[in-house]
Amino acid sequence: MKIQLHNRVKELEIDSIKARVLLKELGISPGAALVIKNDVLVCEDEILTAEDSIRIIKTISGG
Amino acid sequence: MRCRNCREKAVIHMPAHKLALCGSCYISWFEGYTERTIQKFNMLKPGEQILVAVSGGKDSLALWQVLTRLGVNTTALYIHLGIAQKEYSDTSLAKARAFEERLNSSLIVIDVAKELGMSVPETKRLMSRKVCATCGLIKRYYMNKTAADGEFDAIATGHNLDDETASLLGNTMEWRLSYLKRQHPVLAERPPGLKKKVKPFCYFTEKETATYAFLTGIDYIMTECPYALHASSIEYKNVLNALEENGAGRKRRFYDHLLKAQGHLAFPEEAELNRCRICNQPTTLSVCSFCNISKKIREIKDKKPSAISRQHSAVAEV
Repeated sequence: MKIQLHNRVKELEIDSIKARVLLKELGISPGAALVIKNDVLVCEDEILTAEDSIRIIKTISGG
Repeated sequence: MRCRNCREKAVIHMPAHKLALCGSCYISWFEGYTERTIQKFNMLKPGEQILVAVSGGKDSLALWQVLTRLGVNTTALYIHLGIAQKEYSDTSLAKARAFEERLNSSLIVIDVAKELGMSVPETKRLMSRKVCATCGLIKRYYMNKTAADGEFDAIATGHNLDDETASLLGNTMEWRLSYLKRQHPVLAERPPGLKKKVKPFCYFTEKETATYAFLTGIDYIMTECPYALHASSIEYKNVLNALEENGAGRKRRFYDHLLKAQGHLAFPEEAELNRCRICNQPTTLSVCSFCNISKKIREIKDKKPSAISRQHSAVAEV
């Protein structure tokens, strides 16, 4: 599964995973990221598969 | 998960609000909640002219858009700090400019390097204080000065619940009582010349403002300020998000309890404000910190180049 995380792409050996679990695997709090599946924003209970285009936007800033 | 309003597929679940919403219901909810927050804290009066401080980031651009949609009279202010690393300032200015066009609104731009003779990162080489502290001081100065010169009634900033609770945690850990006293969604105008400041997004988490920005197609700068990468505020936000994961609503309660406690706790009296004898802006000193920095920069720039390089070396050794 390919995941776009800001300017880099991360690959994981997974066929399908719940968004919440994926964030946990990546060490990201669900309260600090948006998960975009095939250009659509999804909730943390969404199932993501290796066929999907997945993007994670971290929302924390130092401001 | 389904939208509580229309039963369409939800795009966000907000445990602290016990609410899941689809995209279009979320946009309406977000704008309505901003309006209710403005009313709750009596932030703005009808007809007031508001200066929105924008950085090119998600929170401030979203705030500019929501206030405009709510019919508030807004002009935005962008302060170009001269951060060249990763083209940070130029990119964020371009985002703010593009948004000005999109909203058909107006944007005032202040270029610190032109105004002060030195960009914010350059001051790091010449001052003992941290660049973020100088940056904050310079931004606060230009925000207030621009609001005063342009006869604006208030300055609105995009501070969100994560910003507010991270500050609160930092100030509590250090027991900075004067800061705890002044942390509020509305800071009233104070004579002589300190403008009212409001934070209409104080109850939204960063995820909520990012969701609004994403759903309404706001093109904001996603790159973090190079000087904020190791900021303690990010560390505090991570700690608070971990607490929130184990107990929804903790951040909101932490903030609300501060606002309730402010009326009951004994805080030190605030120092009286007077006018800076150089620039006439409000300060607790006879000459404000901004004018002191400005004077230091002029003195350094007036010296011969060899003297400047000696000064640089001396600062580097410190």
